[in-house]
Amino acid sequence: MSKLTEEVDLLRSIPMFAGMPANKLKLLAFASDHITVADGDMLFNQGDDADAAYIVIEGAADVLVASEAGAEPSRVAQLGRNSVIGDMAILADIPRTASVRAEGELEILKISRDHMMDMVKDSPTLALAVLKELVERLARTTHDLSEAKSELAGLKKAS
Amino acid sequence: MAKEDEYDAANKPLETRLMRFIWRQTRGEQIWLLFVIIISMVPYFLILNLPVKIINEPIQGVGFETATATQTFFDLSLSLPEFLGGAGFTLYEGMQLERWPYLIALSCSFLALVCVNGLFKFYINTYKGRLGERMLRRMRYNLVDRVLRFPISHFKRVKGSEVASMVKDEVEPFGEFIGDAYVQPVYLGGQALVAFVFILQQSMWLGMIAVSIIAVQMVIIPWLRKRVLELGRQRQLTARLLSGRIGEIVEGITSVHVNDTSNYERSELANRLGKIFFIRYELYQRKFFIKFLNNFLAQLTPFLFYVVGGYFAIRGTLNVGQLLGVINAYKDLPTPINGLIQWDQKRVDIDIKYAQIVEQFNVTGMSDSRLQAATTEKVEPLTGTIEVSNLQVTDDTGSVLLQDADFTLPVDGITAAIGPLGSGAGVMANALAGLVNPSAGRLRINGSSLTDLPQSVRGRRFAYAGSESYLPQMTLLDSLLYVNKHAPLTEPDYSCLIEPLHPRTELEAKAAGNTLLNYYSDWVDYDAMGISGPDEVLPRLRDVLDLVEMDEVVTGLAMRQRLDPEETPQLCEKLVEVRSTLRQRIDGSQLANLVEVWDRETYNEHATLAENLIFGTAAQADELTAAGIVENEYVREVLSKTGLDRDMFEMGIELADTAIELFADLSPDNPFFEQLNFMTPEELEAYPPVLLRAKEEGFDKLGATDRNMLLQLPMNYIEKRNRLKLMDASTQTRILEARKMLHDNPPADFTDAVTAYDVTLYSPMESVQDNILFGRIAQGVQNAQEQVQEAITDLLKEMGLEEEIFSIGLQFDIGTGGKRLSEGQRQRIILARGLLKGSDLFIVNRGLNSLDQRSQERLVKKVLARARGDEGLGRPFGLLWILTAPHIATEFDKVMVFDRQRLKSYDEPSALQENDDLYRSLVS
Repeated sequence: MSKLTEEVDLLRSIPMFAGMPANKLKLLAFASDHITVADGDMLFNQGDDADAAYIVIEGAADVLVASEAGAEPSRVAQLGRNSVIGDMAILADIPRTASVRAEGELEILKISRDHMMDMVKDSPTLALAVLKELVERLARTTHDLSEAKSELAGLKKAS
Repeated sequence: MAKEDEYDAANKPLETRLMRFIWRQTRGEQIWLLFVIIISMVPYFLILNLPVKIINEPIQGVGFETATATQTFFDLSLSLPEFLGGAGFTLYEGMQLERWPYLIALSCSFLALVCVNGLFKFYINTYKGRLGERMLRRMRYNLVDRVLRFPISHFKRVKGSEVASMVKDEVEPFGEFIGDAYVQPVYLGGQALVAFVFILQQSMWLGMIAVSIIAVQMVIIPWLRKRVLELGRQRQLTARLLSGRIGEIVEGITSVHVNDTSNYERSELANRLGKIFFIRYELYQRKFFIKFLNNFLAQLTPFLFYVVGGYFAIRGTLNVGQLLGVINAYKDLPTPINGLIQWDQKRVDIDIKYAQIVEQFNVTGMSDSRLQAATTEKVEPLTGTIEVSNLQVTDDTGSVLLQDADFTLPVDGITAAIGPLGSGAGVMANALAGLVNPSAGRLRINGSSLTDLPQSVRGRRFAYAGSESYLPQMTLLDSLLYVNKHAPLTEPDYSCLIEPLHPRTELEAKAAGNTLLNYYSDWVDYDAMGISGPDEVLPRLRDVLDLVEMDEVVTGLAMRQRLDPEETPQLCEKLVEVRSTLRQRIDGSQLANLVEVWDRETYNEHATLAENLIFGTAAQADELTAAGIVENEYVREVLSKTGLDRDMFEMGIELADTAIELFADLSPDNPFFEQLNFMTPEELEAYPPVLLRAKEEGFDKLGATDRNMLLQLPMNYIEKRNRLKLMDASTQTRILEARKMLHDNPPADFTDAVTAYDVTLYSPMESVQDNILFGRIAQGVQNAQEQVQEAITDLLKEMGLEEEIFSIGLQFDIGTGGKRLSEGQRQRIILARGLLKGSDLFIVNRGLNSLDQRSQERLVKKVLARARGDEGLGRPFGLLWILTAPHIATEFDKVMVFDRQRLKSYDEPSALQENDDLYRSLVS
């Protein structure tokens, strides 16, 4: 099996892309770069301009966030196979909200912002899927936030 | 004082009547031309007369009745007309010649007259041509001169391509006409008059007939022509609109595609073309009707002559000789009459066209030409304060863009202006820069009006960087220096010219009223840039490009340029040295993973199949194309010997399949096509039938054209990039075998076309970077390109080549509108130019709005440091920045806050922070 076919399969396993026609997925994979990142190398840094989204093909990546500018960044998550990295930043043109570092050798598919945007413009299915993904994340964040708030209130009461 | 006259002339509106314009500009020449034409009539008359004499006298023997008779040749005598007494003067008595020598003498004089006549014609035509061309040049120059002085607001209403079509095409027919404008009617009129008088002499009645027919012709035809002229005017208008519209389609092609409006555009175009068609069709109908009528009237006259003249002849009041004479004379009449009518039509036609064009260029509010006078003198720096009182700006629909602005701005102050888009801040900046005219209020500097400042003060002491990032096509270097080209400062240097200038260049420029400022002088004002001469330009440019963070981009551009070792032999030699140093460093370092260098014995996985097979580049300027390689017989032979052609055939089928699957339903300008490295969008269309035949017939039966089309596809294939798993180790081994075979005793045409990779040679067909690397950057390694460029830049710095490479980057052609640079890069370049100018006040009007906020912040801070003279680099200057990232306003000395077309507050940031809500909400 060629690498391209593997990548297409990988893309199909991601909910956002699942509903897209096979030849569009293949086109996206064809136009994207298969990149190897050495252990410890940064994929991007917090605050960088976002020009691409990444999908982990093999290996793991650490997500690092510095709470204040200049502070030592701390690891907030680790992403493994099939994770999508930095997709929201390229849709909204906001700087990277976190840094990502390769943990061990990392193989990724790099989808450039322009290609992603062209795909979204071309395919309503993809646009809807992206929208759905966004709403779900928002719901999750809202849920987390309200939980955190009630926890905080509980803590305040206790003290 | 002559200079003053020129300015006055330039300031006057253009003469609206073409004939008056021509007469005013070319009076002297027209009179001279007339004089020459009258003189030329003498040999013309003589040459008409001479054949009669030759036939009658020496040939037929009139006057040679005896064998010894002689005739007088070349006697020059003048005789006064009868009413002056008829006395004669003899200037030269002439020679007595016998019949045979007399024939020779007369024939020779005929030949001489032919020559004289021809020379006269030649002289008159060239003179007319030159006159016309000069006027054309003057007209074009005047028109563009006026475009340069149009009020900026006028450009909202005119389309660039329309102005271009007027200046380029529509004035073209004037050139031809100008030479004939005055001479033609006099000449033709004279001819007609002579024939006419002759007819009248013969018979009053026939003369009257001729007069009346001609009168009818002269009345009816121009009347009919009126509509034709009107149609001609419409034709011109519609054609101009068409060219404007086509220009718009091209400019706005993206919105056509994203909105699927191509069919709307088609229908709009068809509608326009339809209108033009009917105008033109009616024009032809009328034109040919007039022609028909003209011919008919011309033929009608002889008919009347026969009838009426015949009647008189029968009655005996007119003899037959006279009748024949009249008919003969009439034959000569229509030509000049028609010529006159045509001339008049052309005059009216061109007059209308001229008036049409002039109308477009007589714009109110044009700046005084004195304000644009070129001055080579140093313009004294501006100091003091700009006082703005009651400033109001409206747009052309009358809606208010800014009102009641009252403030003072020290020229050397460091001021920011913030406010939402449309709040008036940008308009204020444009008013200060002179880009919009205030509808009310005053702008004064040190007591005198800002609008009356000559452009030499405004354009040199102020710098401006707006958000619009259009850059005309030139090299990056010229684009940067452009802002300092105000006047020719040195003696002209013609060394860059391949052919020397025409010796009459300056004389002709003067004759056409063009500027005499020499284009070939050095126009760059080095003094203003804070340097002493051209030698210091490079470091200065590096400094500002470094400040706007473009230095790496420029080096990157240089890396992608190609160099010709014949033009820059030393640099290329040094680059080969850089190559060998780099190779030593690559071994065992991290770089080894990023670059795969050329090696005769191994397959380069990051290069194309063709590069691996040929193992070299084209020797001449023509690149080696995939198709070219496949069609080469020697290569084909080697491919079939190694059996590679069958492998590549299979690969070709696979690639064509993939390309069709992925790209067939995309439009040819879809950006995804950039990723298709083995086919162009145009080629893609040809493949489906080829593929069908290939699958049906197989390798052996398939036609050569089809087979070649498939074989060329894998030529650009890179397994590491395309990832289709078409290349395995055994194929690679066979390609290496083929490579070896190709270079083993190749025929002459192969060695002529290909230069094999040679570590000691610089290849003109490869970019600077590829030459230094002598290999290919690895595909699919994070930031490989950046890391490699960094390594190369370091190395170049070490070897002292950084500047040379940088200056090669500056030779990069930025493309039409600067489109080969990104918008952000163009805005950075425009900012850098503003810094280079050495102005007293730098106005930046949302100048970096396509950059991200953090980059904007960095650049603003750097420019602020320069403006304050912090680093001791250059002269401090005033800064007025309309910020798109308002939070940086805290860094400025004073801040203007705009809202709803008004200046709301104007104070130090700390004071605003304390008591201004609007400021706080904008800045936070």
